[in-house]
Amino acid sequence: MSEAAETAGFLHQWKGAGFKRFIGPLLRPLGLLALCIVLSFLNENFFTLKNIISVLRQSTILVVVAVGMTVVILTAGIDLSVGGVMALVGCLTSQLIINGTPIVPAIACGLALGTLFGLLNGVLVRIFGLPPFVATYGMMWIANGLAMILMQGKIIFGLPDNFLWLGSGYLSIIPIPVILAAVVAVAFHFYLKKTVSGQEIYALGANREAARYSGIKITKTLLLVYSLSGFTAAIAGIIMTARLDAAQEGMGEPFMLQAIAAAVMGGSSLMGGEGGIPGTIIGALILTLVVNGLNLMGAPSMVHPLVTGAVILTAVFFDVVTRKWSD
Amino acid sequence: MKNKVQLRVVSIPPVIWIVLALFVLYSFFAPGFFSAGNLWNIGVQAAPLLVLAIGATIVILTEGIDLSCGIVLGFAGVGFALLAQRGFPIWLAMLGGILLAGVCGLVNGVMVACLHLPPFIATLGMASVITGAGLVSTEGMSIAVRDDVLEFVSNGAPLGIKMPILIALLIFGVVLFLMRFTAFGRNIYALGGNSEALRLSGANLTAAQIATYTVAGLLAGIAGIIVASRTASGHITAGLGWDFDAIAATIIGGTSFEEGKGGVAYTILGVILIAVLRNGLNVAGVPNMYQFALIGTVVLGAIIFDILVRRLSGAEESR
Repeated sequence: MSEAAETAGFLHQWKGAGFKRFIGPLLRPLGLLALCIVLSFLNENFFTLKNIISVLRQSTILVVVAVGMTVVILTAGIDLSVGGVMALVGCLTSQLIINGTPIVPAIACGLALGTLFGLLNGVLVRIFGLPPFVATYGMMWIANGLAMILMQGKIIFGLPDNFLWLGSGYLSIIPIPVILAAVVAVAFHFYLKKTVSGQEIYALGANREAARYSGIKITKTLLLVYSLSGFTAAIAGIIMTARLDAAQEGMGEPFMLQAIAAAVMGGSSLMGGEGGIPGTIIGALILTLVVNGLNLMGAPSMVHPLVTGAVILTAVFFDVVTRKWSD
Repeated sequence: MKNKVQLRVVSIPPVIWIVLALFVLYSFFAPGFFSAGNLWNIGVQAAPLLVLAIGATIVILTEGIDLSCGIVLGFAGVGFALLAQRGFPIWLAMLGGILLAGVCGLVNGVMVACLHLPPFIATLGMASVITGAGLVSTEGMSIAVRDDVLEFVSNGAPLGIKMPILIALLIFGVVLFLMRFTAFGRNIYALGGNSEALRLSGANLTAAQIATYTVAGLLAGIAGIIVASRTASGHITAGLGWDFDAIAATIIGGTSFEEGKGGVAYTILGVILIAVLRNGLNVAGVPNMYQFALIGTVVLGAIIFDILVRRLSGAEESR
C-alpha cells in the first residue's frame, strides 16, 4: 500500500473513531464536573472535604451493584434481579446475626446466597435460553418473595456494632464502605482489563459468534458473569444493611434501575462489548449527585423514580445516538 | 403446512398438563376450590390479567417487551380516580384513564420505533417515570371513588356473565379479529418474523410498531379500570408485579420472543394457569407473603418445562 493511501485510510479511521476515542470519554468527567459546579452554587458547603466524603459514602452501594451490572451488560445481557438479591441477602445476613450466628459466617452465607442467585440467573439465560431480562426479572420476584417469607413483614434493627462498622465505620477520615467499594471497583477493573477471562467477556459481548469460534467457552463465561453480578449485589446488600442498621424486604428495589442507569451513563452499551468500570463509577457519582441535588432543593423523595427514569431514558438515548454517529 | 399444524398441536399440551396437575393438587389441598362460586371467582380475577396479557402478547410478537404495563395499569386507575374526584362524569373519567394509559403506550412506541431504544429499557424507564408521576400526583395515597357504575363494572352480570369476564372476552374477540383479518395483525406478525420483507412490501414499520405499543397501553388502561372498579379506588402500585404475570402468561401460552411465533389465542391458556395457581393458593389458605416466591418459581418452572418439551419435540421433528 502506498504511503498516501495509508494516510488517507488513517484519516478516515480517525474521523470515525475520533469522537468515540477522545471527545466521548471526556464528556462524562466534564459532565460530572459541571454538575459539581451547579451543585456548589446550590449549596456553599458542597466543595468541603466533609461533603465530598459524604457524597462518596452515599454512592458506595450504587457503585458496588453497578460494577457487577456493568460486567453483565458487557455481555449484552442484563440483571434485573439485583434489587431483589440485595434485599434478600441483607435480610438473611441480619436474620442470621440476630439469631446468634457470628458475623463472618453470616456474611459468608449472604455472599454465597447472592452468588447462587447469580449462578441461577446464568443457568436460566445460558442453559435454558431465556432472554436475560425475563430470567432475571423472574428471579427478582423470587428473591423478593423469599425476603418476604424470611422477614414475615417485620423489620430487623439493632444489629451489633462490629457489623455496623462495615457501613458506618471510618479508617482515619475515609469511610469503610468507600474503601470496600474502591476495592471491589479496582479488583473488577483489573480483572476485566488485565486477565484473559476478563478480555473474553469483552470479546463475547462484542461478537458472540466470533468469540465462540476463537475458542471462548461461552457457557462458562456467562455463568461466571451472572454469578459475579449476584456476588456484588450481595456485597451491596450487606453494606446497605450495615449502613441503615436495618433490613427490610424490598429495600433494594430502587437500585436495579439506578445500577443500569449508572452503567449506561458511564458508556457501557446495552448491545455489549463496550464500556468499563471507570465510566460506571462516574455514572454512579452523577446519579448520586443528582439525587443529592434534588434533596438540597427540597424535592420530596417520591420524585426520585421519575428522575431516575428520565435519566436512564436520556442516557440510553445518547448511547444509541452516539453509536449511530460513530458508525 | 402439515408440519406447522403438528407443531401447534405439540406446543399446546405443556400448559394444559400443568393446569390439570394443579386441579388435581387443589382437589386434595384446597377444599372449596371446585365450587361454582369459586370457579366464577377465578374468571373474574383472571379477566384484567387476560386484557393485560393480550397487550403483552402483541408486543412480544413484534420481538419487543412491555415491562411498564403493570405500572401503567395502576396509573390508569390513578388518572381515573383523580378525574372522578374532580367531578368528571364517571364514564368520562374511565375514558380519561384509558386514554392516559394509551398515551404511555404511545410514548413507549415512539421510544422504541423512532428513537431505537431497546424495548425493555425504554419500558422500564417509562415505568419508573410513571411511578414517580403517580406517587407525586397522589402523594402516595389511594384515591377512593364512589359510584354505582363501579359496582356494575366490577360485579354486574347483564347476560348472566360477570362484567369483567364479559369485557375481557369481548376484547379477546376484537383483538383476535384484528390479528387474523387486518393489516394491524399482519404487520405485528411480520415485525417479529420478517421485518425486512414488511419494509420492502411498503408497509410503514415505524407506524406499525408505535400502533402495537399504543394498543398495549390502551389494554393496560382497560385492565386498570377493571381493577380500579373492583377496589373502588386508584393506586399507582395496583398493578405491581402484574407485568411479570402478563409476560409469563404469554410465554407459557407458547408465544416466543423470536420470529413472531405464537399468538393471542394461546395466551388465554397461560392466563388460566396463573389465575388458577393464585386462586388455589388463596383457597388453600397460603399466606399472601408466600405466594410471590411460589408463583415466581412455578412460572419460571413452567417456562423451563415448556422450553424443554419444545426442544424435545423439535429434536424429534428434525430427525
